[in-house]
Amino acid sequence: MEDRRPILLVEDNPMDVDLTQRAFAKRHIVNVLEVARDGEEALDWIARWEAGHPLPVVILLDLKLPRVSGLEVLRQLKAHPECCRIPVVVLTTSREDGDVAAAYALGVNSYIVKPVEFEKFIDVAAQIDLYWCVLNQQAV
Amino acid sequence: MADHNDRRIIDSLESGLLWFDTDLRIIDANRAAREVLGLGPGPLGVRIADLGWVQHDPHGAVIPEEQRPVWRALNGQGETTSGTVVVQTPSHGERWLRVRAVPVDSLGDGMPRGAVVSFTDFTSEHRAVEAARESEQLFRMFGDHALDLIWIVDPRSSKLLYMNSAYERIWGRPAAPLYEDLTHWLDGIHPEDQERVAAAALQTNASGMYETEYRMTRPDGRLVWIRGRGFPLFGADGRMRYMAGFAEDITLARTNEALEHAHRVAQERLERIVATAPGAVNSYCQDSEGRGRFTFASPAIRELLGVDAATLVARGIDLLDLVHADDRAMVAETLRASAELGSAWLATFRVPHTASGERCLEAHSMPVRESEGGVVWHGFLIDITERRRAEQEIRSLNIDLERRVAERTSELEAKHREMESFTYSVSHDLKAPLRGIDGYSRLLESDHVDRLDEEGRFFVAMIRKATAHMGDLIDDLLAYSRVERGRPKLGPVAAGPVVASVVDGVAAETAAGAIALRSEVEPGLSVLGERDGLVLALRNLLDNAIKFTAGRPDRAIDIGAHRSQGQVLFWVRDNGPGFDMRYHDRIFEIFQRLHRAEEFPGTGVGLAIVRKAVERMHGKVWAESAKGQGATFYVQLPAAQPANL
Repeated sequence: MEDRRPILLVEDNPMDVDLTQRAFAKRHIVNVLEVARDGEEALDWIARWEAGHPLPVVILLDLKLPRVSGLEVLRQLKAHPECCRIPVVVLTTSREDGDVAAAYALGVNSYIVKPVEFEKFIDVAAQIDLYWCVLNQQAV
Repeated sequence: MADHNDRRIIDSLESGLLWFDTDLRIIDANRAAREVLGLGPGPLGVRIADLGWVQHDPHGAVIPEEQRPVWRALNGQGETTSGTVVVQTPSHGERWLRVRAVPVDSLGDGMPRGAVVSFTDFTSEHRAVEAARESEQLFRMFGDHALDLIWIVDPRSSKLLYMNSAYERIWGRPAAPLYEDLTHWLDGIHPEDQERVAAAALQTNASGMYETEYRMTRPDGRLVWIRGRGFPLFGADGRMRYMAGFAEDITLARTNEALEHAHRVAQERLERIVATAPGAVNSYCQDSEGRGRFTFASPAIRELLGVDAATLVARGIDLLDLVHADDRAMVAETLRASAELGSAWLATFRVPHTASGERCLEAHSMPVRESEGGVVWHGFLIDITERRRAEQEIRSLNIDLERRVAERTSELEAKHREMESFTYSVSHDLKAPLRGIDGYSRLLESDHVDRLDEEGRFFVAMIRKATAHMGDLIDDLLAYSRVERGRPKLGPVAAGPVVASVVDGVAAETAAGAIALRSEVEPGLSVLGERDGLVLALRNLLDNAIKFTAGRPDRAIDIGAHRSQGQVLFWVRDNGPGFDMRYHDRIFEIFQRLHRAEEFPGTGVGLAIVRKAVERMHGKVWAESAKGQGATFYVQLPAAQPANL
């Protein structure tokens, strides 16, 4: 059973947003890709979800974000009674041990390093779709 | 019997003459006989038995009648008889006579008709001999009561004439052998003293007195000190007749003298030590009520306490009254504890009023309990004012130094954080545009290929290739900087499993590339290092070997480790193109490459990572190669001690 709820992409780089959208399109992923352009915008979504907006199937979270950092966004999401059940996949260029450890400590569901090559990025998009949108039994 | 002339001759003789008839009557006597025996001038004819004489031999035994010479002469026992007879006369006392009796045969028929007795009176000689004997006896008795040895020697014959019993007492030896041979005199005299003693004796012979002291060992092993004196004895004619002397046992005097000397030396030494000792030596006592005073103090105490030693002792000044008020209770308490436990008194306190102001003193003393219930501490006080000041200076310098180290450390930490954030940015910010370049050129290639000619497609391919290389460079640079991160946590690492895991990691590549990979690790090897660092180094070397054997038909790589002089040596050997040893040092530097990119791809970071990882573990890395001969890379690390395992 495919989950057709939206995917939330938290990403400040417009080029990365565009390429992500294109990569998803190349894999024929139909879920709506909603975008938060910085950490603050990402946190704004919490109020919307509380107001009845459907929860995303997965949140793709960059760590290096203007205003509020990705790790802070992750912390607040995982501290929220409802939102904590949304799977969060960190999608970042940083493979720093400290970031990986901090993200897992905050309860991240997966940690993926963004590849430079576009083909590999398409593969990553496909895997995210397959795992989180198709196979995963959602908690909510 | 004799005519007038004969009579005159007979009476002039010195010897006495007596004529006896056969009845032992004295029928005549000459003048000498009458005088010696007190017979008087008148007619004789008296029987000898009636004269009241007692006759005895020289030993005092009474001579029976038939033993007397005159009786034996009358009774025909021999022509002439003789003997010594002591006659006790009533008038002339005891007379010592040498007697000869001759029988008179007046008719010539062999029958004695009488006897003539002649005698010489040696009473006075006998008395002189007796007196001499008595005198010698007296001398011997006197000598044997003397404590000192007395001896007399005849210098002409070198014979011992006399020695008292003190010899046997002092020397512990019999005197008899000395009478045989006087050289036994040296028996027992200490070998070092013998020559001197013999020389002294010779000197006496030559010139008179001598006095000498020497050692003598008794047969029982006891050493005795002897003082000997010798001197000549002269006769009335002024010539030396005897050598005589004394010898006394002076061991006791000598020992006392030695003890006194040792005591004096010890006393002097002690005084010198007290005078030169650092600080002030002192004896401080407290009576049973806790009142304290000094019983002794060396002069140096004046500088320490501000009171000179004599005043301190004479006035009975208590140490506690001189101590700084704030330290007084502590000093009293440490003294009390020392007295109670009998342990050393160690205390540091201040004395405020001395010529050089306040001093800081250190006390070291041992307590001795006195019979009256008091305690005396013997020990010393040292001035530690300067030491204290220096210590404080060092302390404040240390604090300052620590503060500066902390400052530098936090500066370094800030630099390090800056560096981390820089690499983070490099990673994130440099890669983001790369991803754009690659993504859009890929989209151009896939979605707009019909609008590009061949050259355009080539350009796009080159853009993507350059982008990929830039991505690799950034990744390698980050990997290189990550090696340095944090302090190495060194511990024992088993070599076998590390090599096995590195070999496993390239299994797919070696299979795909038809590479003969052999590994050979000596069993039980362990190094002191970091597992991750070792894996990183060996993995990079192995990747290198795989890269450089590419394109050969017979690709072969050896990896292994063995023990070598307390170290563990790893090696990775390939049969690739090798390199010129002139470039050996350059290949371990970052971004240094010996091959053009189209020969072998790479960023020039791999060997720099290897070197950095190995050096972090205090190891060494090097390579051996020659152009066209393959290359062998070595990593040497300290072997882990069995105790570290």
